[in-house]
Amino acid sequence: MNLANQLKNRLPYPFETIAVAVTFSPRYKAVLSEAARISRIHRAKLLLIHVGALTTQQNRKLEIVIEACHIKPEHYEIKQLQGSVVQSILKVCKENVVDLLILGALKKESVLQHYVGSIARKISRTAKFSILLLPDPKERPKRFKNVVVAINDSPKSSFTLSTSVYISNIENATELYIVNEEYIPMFESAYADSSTDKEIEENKKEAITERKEKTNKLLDEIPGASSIDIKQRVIFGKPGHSIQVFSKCKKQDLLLVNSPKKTLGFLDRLFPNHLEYLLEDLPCNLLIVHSRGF
Amino acid sequence: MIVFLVGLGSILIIARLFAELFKQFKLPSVLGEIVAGVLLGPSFLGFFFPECFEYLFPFIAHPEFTSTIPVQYAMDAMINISVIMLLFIAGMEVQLPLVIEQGKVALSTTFFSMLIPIGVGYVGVLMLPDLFMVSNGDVGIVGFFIGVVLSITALPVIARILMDMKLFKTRIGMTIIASAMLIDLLGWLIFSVLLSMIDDSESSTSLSYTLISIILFGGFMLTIGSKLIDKSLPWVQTKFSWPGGVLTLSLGLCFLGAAFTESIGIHSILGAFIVGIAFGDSANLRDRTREIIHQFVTNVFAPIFFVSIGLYVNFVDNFNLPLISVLFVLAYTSKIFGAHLGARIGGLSKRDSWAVGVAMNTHGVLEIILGSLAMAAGIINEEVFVAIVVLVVVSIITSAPMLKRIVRKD
Repeated sequence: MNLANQLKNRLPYPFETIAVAVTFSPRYKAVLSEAARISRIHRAKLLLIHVGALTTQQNRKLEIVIEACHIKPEHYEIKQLQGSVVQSILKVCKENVVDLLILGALKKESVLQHYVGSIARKISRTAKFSILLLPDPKERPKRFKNVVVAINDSPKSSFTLSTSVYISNIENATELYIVNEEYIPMFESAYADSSTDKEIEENKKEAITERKEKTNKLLDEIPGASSIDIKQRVIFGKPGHSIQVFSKCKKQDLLLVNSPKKTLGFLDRLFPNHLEYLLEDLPCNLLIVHSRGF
Repeated sequence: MIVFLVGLGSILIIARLFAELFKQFKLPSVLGEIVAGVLLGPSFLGFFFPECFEYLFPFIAHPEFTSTIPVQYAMDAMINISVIMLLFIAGMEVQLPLVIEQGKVALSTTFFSMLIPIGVGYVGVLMLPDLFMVSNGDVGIVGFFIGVVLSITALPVIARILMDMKLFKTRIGMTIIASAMLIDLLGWLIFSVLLSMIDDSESSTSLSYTLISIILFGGFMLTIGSKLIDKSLPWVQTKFSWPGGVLTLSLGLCFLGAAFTESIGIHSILGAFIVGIAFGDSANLRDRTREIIHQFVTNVFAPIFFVSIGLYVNFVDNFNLPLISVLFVLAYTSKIFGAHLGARIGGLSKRDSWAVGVAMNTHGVLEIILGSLAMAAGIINEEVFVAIVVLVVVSIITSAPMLKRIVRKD
């Protein structure tokens, strides 16, 4: 059986193998500390990926950081590769069936960088596994207390929602905000000339009720959902952009979203949609949940 | 001045009454407004109560009146501004990211539901030039124009039908909406080139100049322009009075865009349309703001335009049944089949593809605007224009029941 078939219908969690890119950038210690914490609470094997040859000095540095992060030798493995950074990381993750890749990422990129694409963003646009982007990693990491998940009409949403419940339980989160992104393009023009304010409001209310009912149905089937303090909200606006604004305003620790339907290209950056709004300006830590089999 | 104000006031009030009446029958306001125009114009009021018609609209009953008082010019200006604003809000409906998201199926549906109607329209006029009353020299342009009219889909009308039928967010719904958006954009680009060709029928240099200008302007507005608008909107919406600030900005940009395209030899409508796309695409544009712009244009300016259609054109004298019948056959067969074929090639099932075909055959406001501009440019005459209006009215009435029939079959 090939790898694709093995992974088909497998839930995005538990995270059994977690990978982290080691770059020796100024924030690499913080990223490694966050990765160590996450792999510990998930009891996962940690792969430390470094592209390029590790010098003796770098090796020593890495050993010190690993020790400081209390990562036991049997719980990690260092993978060294040569070649293109993006392709090498994707290759290692695929070969080792990585469930979650952790990357440090700038909160915002310059206009040019945004269109050209940085490593973290490039991987996020193409990866076929879940990715956690950390815009502000800490050397003394804290648990994700406030978790928010964005769901919509996509069939991927049920997997993203169950992943959010799973993570909230593991992280012992204070609350889980389930945000339904409702986007009805043309709503204004379709109703503008022939509806009263009351009718428009009723239509919106109907959409909200429908969404909440759907979410409740999904939650009923997710084990562990009852043990978390869940809040629900339906927001109208462009998917990706509305949740970006919401997460920023509510100062959330972790945002979970669906992985994109297809590999995102330059056109998606030119006419942004969904994930591109988030990648343009990360509102908080972002977990892009990849539902296997989609 | 009093004459103009009385006419304008009557148009707005009577249009609203008819729009509300049509709403009771679940029909779009625009149909009520067109009927109000027909009743107020020479077809009904001018025929049965000529004195009343002359009193309300002397500038239409006696065009020579304009030689002393420029009321006609004021009315023409109002109608032109209304068309520009209508095109602006039509542009606001086009969401290019949605088109890109739908990908192959939207592209294939768009391609075939434009190609086949344009081809059929062209051949139809070529074979029946007498029916469309065109001289040999104009057959190509008229044929192409009729093809473009047949290829356009009424976006707001079909969106409303899909929302009411709870089909909007299905694959069929998204395919229809994305394709109709792309067709709108391509249709107006083609029509603008067509108008430029008529205005300036010199050599291929002018055509290439027009094409390059359109590409540069469109390219700039849809990339850098739209980003600039998007970045400035949060500031405008919070620092300026609301909704006044954003309303002024949007309409200001709309008129500037229209003026710019007019100045480079392309019709002003294209400028308004493209600025509308750039403006409507902004994620920072509040839903409420969008709604207010729509309300302002569709309830104040749209009625002026739609009523004016009936005021200036005699629908009884220009009602040509054979022409209307031919246009119907061409429209219904080419559009339904073209869109069906495109959707099928794009990967939809047979039943879904028929649903897409039938839904895409909903014609609306834009075709009427297209027709009136073509009539003003001398591409078509009043009989062809009346046939287009009748086609629009009937397609709006028939598309929902036809779609329901297909969807219900499963």
